[in-house]
Amino acid sequence: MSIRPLEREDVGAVARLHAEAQPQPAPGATDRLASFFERTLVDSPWADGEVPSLVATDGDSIVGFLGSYVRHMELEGRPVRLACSAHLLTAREVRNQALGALLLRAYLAGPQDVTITDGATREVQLMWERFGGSTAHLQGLVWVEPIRPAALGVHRLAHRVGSRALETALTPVAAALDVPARPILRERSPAVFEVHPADAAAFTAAVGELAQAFALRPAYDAAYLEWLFGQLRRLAAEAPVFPDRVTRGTLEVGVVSASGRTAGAFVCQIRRRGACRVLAAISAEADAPALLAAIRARAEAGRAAAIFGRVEPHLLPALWERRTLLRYGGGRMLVRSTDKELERAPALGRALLTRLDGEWW
Amino acid sequence: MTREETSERLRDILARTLGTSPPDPETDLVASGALDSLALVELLVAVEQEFSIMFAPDELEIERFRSLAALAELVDSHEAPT
Repeated sequence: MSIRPLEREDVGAVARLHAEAQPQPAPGATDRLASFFERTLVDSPWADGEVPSLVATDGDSIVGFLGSYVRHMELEGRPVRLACSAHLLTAREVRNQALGALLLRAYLAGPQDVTITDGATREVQLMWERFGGSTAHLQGLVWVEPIRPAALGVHRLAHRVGSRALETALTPVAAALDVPARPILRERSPAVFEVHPADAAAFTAAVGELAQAFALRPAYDAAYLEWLFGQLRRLAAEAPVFPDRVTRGTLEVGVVSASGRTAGAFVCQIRRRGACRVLAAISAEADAPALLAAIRARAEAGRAAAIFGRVEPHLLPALWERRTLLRYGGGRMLVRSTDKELERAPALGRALLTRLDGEWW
Repeated sequence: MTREETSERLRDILARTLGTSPPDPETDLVASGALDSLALVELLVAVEQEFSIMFAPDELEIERFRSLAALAELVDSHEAPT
């Protein structure tokens, strides 16, 4: 068994490996996965041949896989190559042969400046920390702001049993149940703001301005974000690629202004009667109340029943003021770098690392 | 360092990290269930620290870690004079 970089011809076998690891792969999931891996791992504008995805092979068979997503960042003006590891998996027949550890070790030995992973299991966390990395515990939390909790419950139940008729039938009941909760869950923030829909160029410009508050920050370019937003729209339009992911809503990208200046920028996916899933909420800490109020306004306009986002240190005081619920999301954010200043930046709140820079799918 | 000395040091590391000392240098640590992913991480890190070496990505093949004898050969290949 040996480890080598992923090649385009491998994506079908990798998708089959992924599908075989699922208890009940959805019909057509393998083809969608192969297409997803080819688009995002091979054809991404930021795909980097020096930090490739890895496959473990046994003869002609692919028996292990680790996906590599490279991001362009900067640390106080210095370019930083960030590698996000994802989809670590091994074939059932070799699962007791420690291949996962070898894939991870090979990936961590790459030339990137810093490596992260966004949704790690406990086992990967233990391996990661033993290899010298650390856990950014705060980013393992998810914040939840309920708007119409009964409606969300009905939406999720209907999705789970695959019945739109059930949702239609129960919607009036949920609406009635949500009435008493309205005064408790209504928006209370006094923040004054305006929301401007943004394209990739406008979002890039806004992040360039807002990210100055962070030592480690993304170095987006409009072409990359145009591609990324296109991938997000495509994922929302097709059946779920990953079995544990619910269907995403409409992509909304906005820039928030307050008192005539840029106060924040956000990317979220809004599903009517479902979740508003926040992928990026970017602002200085002082402007987070206006940013979160703006996201709430967009979620309500899109008839979402609740807002979900990952806790980021710069949002924490505003989330506390809004009395949002916090829950442990299950996936851990792990970081590793030989430059310990770089490695500690996320845990210290000095890094702007949103879901867009990690596992955005 | 002789192969025998390398093997002795590795035997100590295996006892420390895996909690087992293989009865025979050729004992298959994977087949015996002693070497899962977490155990391999412990072993890798301990061997690299003990011998002050760093395994290259192309050396990360399970066959090289499967037995004490294979591991000793891998370690000695790092220590051999060039």
